[in-house]
Amino acid sequence: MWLKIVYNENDIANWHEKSEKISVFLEDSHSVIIPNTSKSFRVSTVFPLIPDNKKTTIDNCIILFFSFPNAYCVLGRVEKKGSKELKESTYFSLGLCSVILFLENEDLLIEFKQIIEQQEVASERWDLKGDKISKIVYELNANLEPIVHPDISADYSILNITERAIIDEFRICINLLMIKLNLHMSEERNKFKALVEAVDSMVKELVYLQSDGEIPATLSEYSKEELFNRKLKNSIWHQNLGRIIQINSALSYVSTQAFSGAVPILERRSLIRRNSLLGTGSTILALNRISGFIEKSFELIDFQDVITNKLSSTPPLKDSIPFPSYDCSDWSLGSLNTFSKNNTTEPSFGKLPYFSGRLGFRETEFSIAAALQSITSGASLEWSLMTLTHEMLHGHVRIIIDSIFYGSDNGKAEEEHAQFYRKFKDRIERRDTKEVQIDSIRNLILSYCTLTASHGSISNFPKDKWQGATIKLLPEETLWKTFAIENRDLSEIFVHILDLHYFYASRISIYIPLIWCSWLSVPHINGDLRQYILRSLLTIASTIKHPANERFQTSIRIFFDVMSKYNEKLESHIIKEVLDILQNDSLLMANYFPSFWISLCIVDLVTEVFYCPAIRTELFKDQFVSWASDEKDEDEVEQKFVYNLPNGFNDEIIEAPLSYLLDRMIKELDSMKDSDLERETAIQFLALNSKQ
Amino acid sequence: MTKQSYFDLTLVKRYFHLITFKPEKKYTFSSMLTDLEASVKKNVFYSTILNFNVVEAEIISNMPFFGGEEDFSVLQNGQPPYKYEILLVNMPDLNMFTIGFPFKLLAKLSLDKLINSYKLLSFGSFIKCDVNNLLIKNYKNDLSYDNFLAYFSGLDLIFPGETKINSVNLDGEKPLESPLFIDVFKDQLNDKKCHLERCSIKCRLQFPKDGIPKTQANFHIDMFGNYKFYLHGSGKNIFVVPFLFSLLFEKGCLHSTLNNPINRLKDV
Repeated sequence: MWLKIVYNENDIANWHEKSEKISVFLEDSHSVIIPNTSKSFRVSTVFPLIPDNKKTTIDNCIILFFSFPNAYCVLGRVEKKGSKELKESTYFSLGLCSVILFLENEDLLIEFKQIIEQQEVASERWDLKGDKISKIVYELNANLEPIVHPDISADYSILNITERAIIDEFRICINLLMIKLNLHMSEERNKFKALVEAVDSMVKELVYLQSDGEIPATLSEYSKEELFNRKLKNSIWHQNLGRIIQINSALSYVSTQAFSGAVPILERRSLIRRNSLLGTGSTILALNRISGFIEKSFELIDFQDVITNKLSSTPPLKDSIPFPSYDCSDWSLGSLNTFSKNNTTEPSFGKLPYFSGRLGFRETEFSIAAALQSITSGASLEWSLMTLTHEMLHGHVRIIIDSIFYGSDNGKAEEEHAQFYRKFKDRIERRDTKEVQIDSIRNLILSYCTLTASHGSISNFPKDKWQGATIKLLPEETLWKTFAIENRDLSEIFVHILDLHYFYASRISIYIPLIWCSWLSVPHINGDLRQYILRSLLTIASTIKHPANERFQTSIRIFFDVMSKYNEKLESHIIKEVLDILQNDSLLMANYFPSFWISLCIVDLVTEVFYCPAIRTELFKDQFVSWASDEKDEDEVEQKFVYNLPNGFNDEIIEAPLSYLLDRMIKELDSMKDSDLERETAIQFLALNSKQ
Repeated sequence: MTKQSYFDLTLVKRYFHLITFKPEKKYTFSSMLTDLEASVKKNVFYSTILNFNVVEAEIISNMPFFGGEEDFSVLQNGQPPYKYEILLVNMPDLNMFTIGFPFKLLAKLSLDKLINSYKLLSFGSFIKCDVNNLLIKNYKNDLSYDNFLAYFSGLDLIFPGETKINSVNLDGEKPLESPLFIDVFKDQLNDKKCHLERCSIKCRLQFPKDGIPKTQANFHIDMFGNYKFYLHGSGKNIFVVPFLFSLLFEKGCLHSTLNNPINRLKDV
């Protein structure tokens, strides 16, 4: 249903004085109805708490909008305890004001207040006379005492106007955002304080590079002479400016998507037009919860520090050479899990989450974007928010790979790479050298890169006929070029395996169909099917411990079985094509096996060393998480993951939001029913915000 | 009192599924009996140690909830309607009452009726036990309350982050005193690497006093508000119920829930 206001553009600016000129309608239609007048309008989708109970008129109603810390619990209590009349008067939306009451009198408000057991953050009341707003009253329950907003401490007046403007933009944006943040999302203040501190450091570096004063602490690993080097100077300069620009861009998205439609509702129109009246604040809170939850869970291990410092004093991975006839059975002794701390701490600063129609699901150093389609269809298999886990892992894997090859961050990457190459050469030529764990890891990755030249990779076909795997040392420059090219494929293998084990409870029967559902919505998948098949096979291989050839055959069989099961439900010609390929032995051996075979060392490296069970424990830490075995199911491959919480709204806290989401995706995958997707999506967004 | 004189039950020597309800307003023990359409056969006991009474009642249904081993038909002809005995325990001091059903499905349908037709939840909420917290607060094992002794006799630990082992079931006379529990599982619980989803608590009423018999029962309790115990032939171990809830209440481990506990049982 659509809640709509229609008004003259001149009146909306003075909405508090001219509210009586604004008309309000509640309409039931699948698509938005554009008013056939010269007037402007704003709309938002709203959902009746009782699905089939749709009001036909709201003339002369009192409309109450509430922003609660936990709307999911409020709606759960109303649904279970409320009278029929109250339930029929209750609606929900995706805005910060996610609970809406349409009342004919105030009696039901008393019942509502008695039931909910929560204090609202903000509320607004519209009294309608006919279809016009006769009165608007709003209330903000936040602490309205003036608070000093965080700001840049560096004096950057020395910079040119171009750079100054970028920094000015950041400061203004933060200032405006903090005002709203204090009113509506005060718990998020620390995140933005940390962001300001990070940008402050970048600005100090820019000022130093321009003025040559005292070296800022964040550049202390360089000497003055090194910083005089134009190449290094330029690199830091552009990197910092690029980061601030990226942050500014994300902030403008976050600001408009989070706070448009917040009380006072008519003050700001959301740029997501379909929700221009009430905005999408609850969806941003949900994205924030997911990204913050993942970041906090990964704080259990300081990967950068462990890889850069600790792995230089731990023993090498046993039997990692001769490659690829390695034996990884003892590699778990070098698992990074042993470096986990007892408690997680809040991350220094979290990513800025927002929705983007252009970017879709995308992660950068400072932001995480979800596809705009997820606002309406996030409960579907194609646009599930579970895809965010994959994107968040790209950031994590970037830290891992950078720490392995650029860890010391001392500006001497070329020298270090020459040293890494020498060690690799010694290893290939079987010279007896002293090796530590980080050397083994680098050598394995460089072995893989070397072999991609002949055996191909997940995105490149094998070049030669199958020749076994004798490593021919590439010239140094060629090897590092190959490494740069293969970085993307390497990263994808890392991400898929970590995604499976961290977020999908190592359940192949869930992960494979769900990841393919998200891929089916990507237009270009058909052009590079081989890559996606190989990604799947390698992920499956991470759960199998057999010799390489058997692992390949077993992975194909498991992949085929899983895809066949969902062939009918997914109704895609691509799945049929995949199934055909999986039955073509000669094609698989020629085009797939060589790349699969040489990638297995990366699969095992990730599974045995970089995957940390302690983090998964953190991610699944929730009293409702459980497993169930159905011995009557002839096709049961694995125990089923269960999140024991009934569908709909509940008066319960969701401690592990991704476990909840995974359970809902499994239910959607197994369901043959067509549910009201947009409504279910809205429920899931509100559920993701159900925390203490 | 003699062994047989407490109840006229025929449905004994079987597991009873219990649900506990806490009324908030205008809802009494009698309201529940009325809404269940239960006819009272016996209002069995009143105690001065704890203020409670146990009611034996019958409800009529056209649904056969049994596997045919006994004839529950009203006319003893194997045809519907059937009558089933239920037990209710009223605990006014705790402002709670417990209903015991001999069949899970009977419990489910009865509660669905109370919730959907009689709007039960608008009058109060179900009571669940935070078993995990109860365990963590009481590693010393024995829980005592006046004439009542209870201790953990079984623990179903769930490891949410593990995938090779998903749960560990520790059964025994006193698992909390086992070195295996102390050395391995206690730390896992304290670090929240696992949680207790279900447990068994062995309960004993030790000294006959004020007409309360010496009796015992092993209660299976889950975190969602389901309680189950084996009703002995005499039926007298139902008297353990008010003592158990008084203990759990005193330990601060009873909480309200608006979700029907039966719907969260894995095998219903």
